[in-house]
Amino acid sequence: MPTRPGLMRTVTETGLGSAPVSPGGTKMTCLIAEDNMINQNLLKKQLIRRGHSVLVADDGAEAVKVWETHKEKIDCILMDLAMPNMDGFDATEKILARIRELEGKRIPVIAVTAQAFAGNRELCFEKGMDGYIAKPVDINLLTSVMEEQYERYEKVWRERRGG
Amino acid sequence: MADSDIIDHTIFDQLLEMDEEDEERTFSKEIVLNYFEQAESTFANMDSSLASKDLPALSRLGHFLKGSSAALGLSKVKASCEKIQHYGNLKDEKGSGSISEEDGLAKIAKLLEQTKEEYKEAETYLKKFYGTT
Repeated sequence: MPTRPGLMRTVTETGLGSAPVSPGGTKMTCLIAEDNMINQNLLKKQLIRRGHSVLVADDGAEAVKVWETHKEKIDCILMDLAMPNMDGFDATEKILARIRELEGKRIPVIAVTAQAFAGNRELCFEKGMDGYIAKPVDINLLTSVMEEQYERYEKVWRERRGG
Repeated sequence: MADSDIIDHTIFDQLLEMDEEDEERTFSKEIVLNYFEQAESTFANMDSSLASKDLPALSRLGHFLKGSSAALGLSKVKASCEKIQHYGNLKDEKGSGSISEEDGLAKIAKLLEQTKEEYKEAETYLKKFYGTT
């Protein structure tokens, strides 16, 4: 499983797996920003198996580029925090700023991290993130948070558009 | 030694679930083999960083290997990597307080050897599990 630093992989992998989509059933296109290929590949497989589609980025800078290219279809971002080139906090800030600039639909940004610093969780929420999942990832918890936050923003978007 | 000391099966079994009906366990085996490569490479980088007294690099490397070790359920390796991360940041093993650079380097030098042993123990177990040598 080679690492390909700096190479944008724009192929979306789609869920064809046998595991049921988690209760609630919302299939999402998720952007995983994660510099550790072990963690990235495992999370990708877990999400695909649950019927979600996945885009990946190896660092924060690539995450911003991939989001910009595919923003129309990305429903959720799973953001590692400590990454080279650009960390998860900066990438989140840039993406959320662009969403505001475009007056687009807000999507959940969920921190997925092995960080262990006191106050780290609070900092994530201060930066506008919508969830905080510690590694090793509890995939049931993660997908539950994903769906909850996705539905929250869907509701806001519908209300904004008068629907 | 009970293998539950080496592997947290609650977590490792989640990885094995990804193999589904594949008796060859292609997916999980590839993840584990890639982890071996990553760990060896990371330890080599840690040795270099220790020799050059690069504490920030040691912290980053500790954090990096902690993530993948956690994903595979290698609890002892994960815990030791977290301590390396903290020492590299000039914090105590719990990530609070403050230690000197000299102290940080000394603690990491000692802990790194322990971490490598913990890794070897896990590697031996996993190689036996997958029937590889």
